[in-house]
Amino acid sequence: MVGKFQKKVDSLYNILYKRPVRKRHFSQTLIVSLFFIIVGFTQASGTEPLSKRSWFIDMGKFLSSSHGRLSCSECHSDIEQKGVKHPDPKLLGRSSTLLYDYKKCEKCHPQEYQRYLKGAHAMALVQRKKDAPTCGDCHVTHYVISNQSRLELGRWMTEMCGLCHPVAKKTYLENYHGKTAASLGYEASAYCTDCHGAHTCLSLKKKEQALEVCQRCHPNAQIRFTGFVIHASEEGVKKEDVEKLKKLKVIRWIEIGFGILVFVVLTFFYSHTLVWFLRKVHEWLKKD
Amino acid sequence: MEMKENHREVYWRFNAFHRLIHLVMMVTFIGLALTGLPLKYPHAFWAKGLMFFWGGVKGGGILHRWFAGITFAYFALHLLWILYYLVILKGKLLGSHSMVPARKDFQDLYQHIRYFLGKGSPPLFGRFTYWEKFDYWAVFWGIAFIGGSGLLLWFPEFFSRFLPGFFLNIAYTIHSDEALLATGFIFIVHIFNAHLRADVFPMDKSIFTGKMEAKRIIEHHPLEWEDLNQHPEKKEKRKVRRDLLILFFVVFICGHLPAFSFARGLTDEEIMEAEKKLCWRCHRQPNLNSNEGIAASILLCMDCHGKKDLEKKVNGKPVSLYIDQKEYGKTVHRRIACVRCHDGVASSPHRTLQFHCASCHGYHGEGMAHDPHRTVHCEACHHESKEVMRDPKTRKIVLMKVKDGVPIKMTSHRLANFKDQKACEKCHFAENSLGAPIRVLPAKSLICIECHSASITLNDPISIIAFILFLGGIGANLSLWLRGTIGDPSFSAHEKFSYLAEKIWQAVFSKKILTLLKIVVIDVLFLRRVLKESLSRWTIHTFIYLPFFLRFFIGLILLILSKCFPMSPEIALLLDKNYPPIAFIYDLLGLCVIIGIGGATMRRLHKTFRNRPSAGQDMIVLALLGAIFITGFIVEGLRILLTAIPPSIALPSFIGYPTSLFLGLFPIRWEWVYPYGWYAHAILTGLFIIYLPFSKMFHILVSPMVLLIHSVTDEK
Repeated sequence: MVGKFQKKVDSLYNILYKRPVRKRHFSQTLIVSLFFIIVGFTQASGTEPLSKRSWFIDMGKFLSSSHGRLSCSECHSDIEQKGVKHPDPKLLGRSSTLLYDYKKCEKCHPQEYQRYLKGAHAMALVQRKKDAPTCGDCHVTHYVISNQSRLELGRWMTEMCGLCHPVAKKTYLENYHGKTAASLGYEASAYCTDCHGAHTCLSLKKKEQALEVCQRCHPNAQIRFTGFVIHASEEGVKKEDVEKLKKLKVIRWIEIGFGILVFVVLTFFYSHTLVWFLRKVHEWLKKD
Repeated sequence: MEMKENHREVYWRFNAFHRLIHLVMMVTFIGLALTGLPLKYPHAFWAKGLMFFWGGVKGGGILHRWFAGITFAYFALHLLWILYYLVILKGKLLGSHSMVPARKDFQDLYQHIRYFLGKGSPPLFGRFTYWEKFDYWAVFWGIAFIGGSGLLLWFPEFFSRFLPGFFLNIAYTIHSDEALLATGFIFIVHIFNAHLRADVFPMDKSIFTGKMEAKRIIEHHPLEWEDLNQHPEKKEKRKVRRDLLILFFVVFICGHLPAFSFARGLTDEEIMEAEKKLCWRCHRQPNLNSNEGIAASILLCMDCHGKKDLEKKVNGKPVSLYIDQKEYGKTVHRRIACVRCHDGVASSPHRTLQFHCASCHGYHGEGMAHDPHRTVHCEACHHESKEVMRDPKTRKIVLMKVKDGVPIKMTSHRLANFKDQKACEKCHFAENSLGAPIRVLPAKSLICIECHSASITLNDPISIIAFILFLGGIGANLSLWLRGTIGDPSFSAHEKFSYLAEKIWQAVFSKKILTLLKIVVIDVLFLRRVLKESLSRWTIHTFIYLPFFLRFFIGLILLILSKCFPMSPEIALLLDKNYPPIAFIYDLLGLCVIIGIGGATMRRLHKTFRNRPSAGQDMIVLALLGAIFITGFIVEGLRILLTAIPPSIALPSFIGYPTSLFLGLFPIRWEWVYPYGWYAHAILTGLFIIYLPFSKMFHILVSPMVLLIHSVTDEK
């Protein structure tokens, strides 16, 4: 359990402090970047890095955060009282549900709380109590800043949702929505909660439900439109979902087919070019 | 000795059409690659910078689609060319000159590879080598695959009506992989073949000049040379000129224009949910960038406006302020926070100060709305309410809030439906009190662009007919030249057209850009040749032609600017004909033309000019122009009169305003007359446009072109 938690923290740390390394695309990127290396200037992402979860609270940051005026016991159980046990420090990050009372969030965020109760995360909480995420698992509550831009919120939620849904994050970032919204900062595109709902976190398995969501941005969409697989990965798809698996199989074979085509054509012509070049060099050297 | 002479000769390789297609393809392909690749590799270090350069994902997306549209166009043109080649030129698809792969190509490939490996000599190539053929077919199948899948991704909603949704995934894969193949091939293999190869370094210019030296043909295409020896063709030195820096700036500026953002993402029920009351539930500054913030701000307003008995008293009479949440949930703006539009309403006094429609929506160009509508508030047209009036203070058209002493309920947020003209008829009906013409007039179209800042559309029958006849006239002239005057009379029509295209190509891509500029200023703008003939003729010419040119120039610049900066209030101001400087300049230029026409008429009445062969044509043109400008000023006067522009603003239009005062003296219902005046002006203009290519006035279009071509090609 602790090992899993450590991985979570490390991955968050990597995400926030190091640039993501995408090995799969590295060689492809190298080829094309040679031509665009002139365009070297990049835009700053504008996201404030979040802190690694620690036993220590950076008071400077905490006081300037949205919750800076709250006293500890307003969220955490009142451990100053006699007979109240201090929570187990090992629990930090594993499940924040046990470290604070998420029901206290309702006091200031009633609408969000009510919506959370209707959503899939709260259903999980009912089913397997301890592991399911509550408010603090998604929101870094100590340093949260209000009035962030849509882009900042979106990038942040992509990372946060991705901690527990890594496949969804990966596939989202490979999809048009993720590429434009999260990676390239296009605010009119969709972030996680734009489809799955803020706080309700619906899984959108039903087509009718998904269509309603699609129509928010694609008003002319019909029921077949929902057949578009956004999280296109066979990883984590349940065996009962035969339809999706079938689609993914077709998509994978086409991917493989075109991959082979690209590979064969480029390999043939690159080696053709290379030996031609070598022959010319050879002739040139022989001349002198 | 004879061989050496021959080596310096230059032969045709590509015709002007093929060069044009290649040039367009080069620009659009690089454009498509540079706008598409950041999306394929969004994590690459160059991706964000490159996307920023195009003006973000929105700008990049628009450019990508434009380039794609041009690609489809040249693909279609190329297919038409093949048809023309087969049917009219009686060309053959197969044979030594063809692009179709033949057995020899595979033999060549085998022998070439043997040569690379040091086993034998290189093969002898014909007109097109096997790698050139592969280049061609790679593009051909690339456009089919990338274009087809791209269309699917461009209109996913349409295609998913009859295709399964996961075809979009497939299209996505194909588009992405084929694009990688295309860029990987072009930027490595094609660049090597056409630029970096020792034989052609730094570049094989033949695709730009269309020509190839005999020496290089013997070296690279020996079999073609054998063939050519029997049919030697034209000889000329090559000239190339390209300028990409301007393109860079144009793209950078254009890309940054349409970027604006909006937030959305809650279901309607979620927005309408009302919950417990807490101080900061309402008083916390809502983050309008987040879904929750939007919901919170709507809830704050709905706390009072959701109550059915909420009302205020206007003139002692109650009016409901209740907003039906379900009705509001059906409107377009349901996911926009109330305070985003009702700016400054969260304060005391509780009143909406201003609507900022233009912070999300661009200003209408001429294609959408006439400029008299610049005095109409957005909501007067777009709100569902049919009661509008002219504000006595600002003289602008606004929504009526009180009718006959009874306040009007304004809480519906539904918008008017603009699918037909019915929404326009709330002002444009007979006996209206707003001064609106009784008929909805079409927008200024392409034919109006010579004098007005118009749109590039053709919607009404007058401009469609005029434009088609104008094009027909130009086509007739062109066919007349092709029959006789151009080049060697023994040439066929195709050869003459090629000759003409060649001359134009040379004019556009010659190194003598300074000569061209000089000719433009001296001969085209200031009519040097006319001045040499006679001063009086030059004066009259200048008085008529220069104002036309300036108005066309201003209109064109404003059109481009308004397309580039749809959100800019400054450009919107410049498009406004009532804006004093613009009004003054337009009237001044119009006056100049009238003076010029007057002078010309006086001259024509003089004896010596009566017997000139073109005197009849001249009189027709002068009469048409005079009628156009007189109706123009009358229509302007009527516009000022009907839209009730106050004298302080209207005075700079120093002809239009007195005209309006004069017309105002007559007790006629001018809104009945205005449409007829407008149509008269439009029909006269249409007649003038139609008459252009059929009369000697065609010199307006031809002389500058001829002067420019001559200046470049004949100076040797």
